[in-house]
Amino acid sequence: MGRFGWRKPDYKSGIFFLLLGLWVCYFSWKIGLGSPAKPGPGFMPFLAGLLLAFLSFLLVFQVLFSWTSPTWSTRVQWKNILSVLAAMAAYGFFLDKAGFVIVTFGFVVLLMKVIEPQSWKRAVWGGVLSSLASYLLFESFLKSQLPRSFLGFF
Amino acid sequence: MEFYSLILQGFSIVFQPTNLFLCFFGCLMGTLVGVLPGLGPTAAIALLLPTTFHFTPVAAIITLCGIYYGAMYGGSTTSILVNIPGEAASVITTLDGYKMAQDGRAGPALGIAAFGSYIAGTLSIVGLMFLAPLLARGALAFGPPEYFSLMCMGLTILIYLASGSMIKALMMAALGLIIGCVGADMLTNVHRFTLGIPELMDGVGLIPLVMGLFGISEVLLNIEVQVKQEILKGKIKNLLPTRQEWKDSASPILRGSLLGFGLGILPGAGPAIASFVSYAVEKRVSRHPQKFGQGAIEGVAGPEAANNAATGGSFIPLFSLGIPSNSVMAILLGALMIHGVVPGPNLVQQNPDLFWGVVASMYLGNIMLLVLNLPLIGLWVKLLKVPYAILFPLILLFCLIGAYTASNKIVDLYLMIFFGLMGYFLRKYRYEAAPLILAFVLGPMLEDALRQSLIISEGSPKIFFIRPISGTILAITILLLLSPLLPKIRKKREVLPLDKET
Repeated sequence: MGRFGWRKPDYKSGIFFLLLGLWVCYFSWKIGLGSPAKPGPGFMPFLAGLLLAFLSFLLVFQVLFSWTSPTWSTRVQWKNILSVLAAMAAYGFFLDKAGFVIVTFGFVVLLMKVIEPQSWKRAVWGGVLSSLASYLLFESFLKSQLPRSFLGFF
Repeated sequence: MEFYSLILQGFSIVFQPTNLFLCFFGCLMGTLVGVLPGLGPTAAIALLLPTTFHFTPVAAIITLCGIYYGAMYGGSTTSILVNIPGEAASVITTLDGYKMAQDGRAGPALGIAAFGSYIAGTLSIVGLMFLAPLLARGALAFGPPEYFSLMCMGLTILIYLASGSMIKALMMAALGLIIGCVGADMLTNVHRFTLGIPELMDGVGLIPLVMGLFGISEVLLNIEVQVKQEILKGKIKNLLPTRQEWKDSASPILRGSLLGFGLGILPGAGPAIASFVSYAVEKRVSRHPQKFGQGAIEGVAGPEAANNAATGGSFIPLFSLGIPSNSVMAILLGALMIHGVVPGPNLVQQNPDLFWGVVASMYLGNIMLLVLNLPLIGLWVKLLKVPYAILFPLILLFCLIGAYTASNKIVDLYLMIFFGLMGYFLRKYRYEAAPLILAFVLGPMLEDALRQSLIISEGSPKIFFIRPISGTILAITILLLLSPLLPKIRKKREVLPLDKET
């Protein structure tokens, strides 16, 4: 099993969803399934969790007895993925602290320099234009309330 | 007589300056999204949904619909010029469209795609106009058991038509139902799966979920490898097709319109599948099938007509039953609810301004799109030259702002990032996001209908089977679910296209 099972993406994801489904069932049971005549809050998630667990089991079972090849072939640039995720998380962290315009400027410049590096001039212009244009669009035109900086404006 | 006054009322709403501008804005945005690869209509509509919060419900839906059918128009441009489909419904257009462009016939290919889209789009609106109110009247007799069965059937058809593994599609639907359960229970106020995060008490927002699964994950997939863009050199001329080309395209456009409209109504089918089926039909009925793939204009006209007609058809279940047929419609349903409109069979009756205004806007939008797509084609070609390195920070930025402004909660930003990463892995492991979104939106309605039905029947599941309409729908659903066990059908399912954006 180990020799041809673990290498298959469907096997790994199937096990993951199987465990998730079982956890959902357990949790739903804990909050109360109710009775068929008066279904409780856990009734629907229990059914969904059971369905997920059952289907994942079928998937894993299917994989164990088949010889289809794995699909992860391209070389993944993890650096790019992680940079983007970190930049977005940082955006969320600093947004209400440093204000919309400053954080947006930093976010765009950072991404334009890190993933496929552009010239500084292009990156800074990109940052200035996108932060000001989005501020005008969302704050002034659409009246969304964007967080302001410590300076009290922007 | 009443019918004419209603449609006139619709036009009077659309011709109000704000609505007219927003209809144009939606079409423009849709074309933009269609032209640019890497951002599909689902993500784009989710992205712009928060911007419509300050609009009236009619204006909001007019804008969002414009994006949807605009994307179907614009998607053909990149397929024909650079062999990169702007969205899933234009994948098939690359086969003959790009070949035509290589042979120096980019003009007629773009021209027939736009005209075909216009004709099919308009025909499907006529269908929508007549069918939706009719169906809604019939649906007034529906109770909770019928709704439960209908939603089960909708999900099943979507899963049935999903590309690849049906088990995986069903798993995604189950996951969508589970995510839909997060938050305080409607009846008992018990917290479900909130993990101690108070912001999750209201449940997971549709916008962070959709933007994460469709927008962020798409960017992550694109930046993990280098994208090389090539663009057609030379000028595009003779956009107007010749008489012969019109003659060759007339029947495919009509067939595509009918086919697309019919498939559009079916939950789960949507524009992408309509375009693939139309291509297969055209190839089969053609007297020279060997020309397909070598630059046959029928191979552009049919599918482009079909995908536009399907957009019109897909509005029918939404407006008449309140049931979305694909993930775009699921977001529109969310938009309706945010604006305080109760979707369901009463929508057309209770909100005639909304329904007829939107229908009228589609007539107008189709004309706007023809103008946007033909004389302005040069502009869109220029846009294709914007490198992805500049584009993707902007897409991410829009997602971030969109997720934040929808609720003004930072936690929604983190949720979106989480769903983005989840969407990335789901796509890597070949799971489709569409059944998840649909199940997520239908989940609370499904749960409500299930619990109400069981309360009515005092706990007996027989209620779903003994009521004639509900029983018939459930029987079809069960047949559909069991049909892949038949080897003949299983073989046919395997050739269904990858439908990642409908």
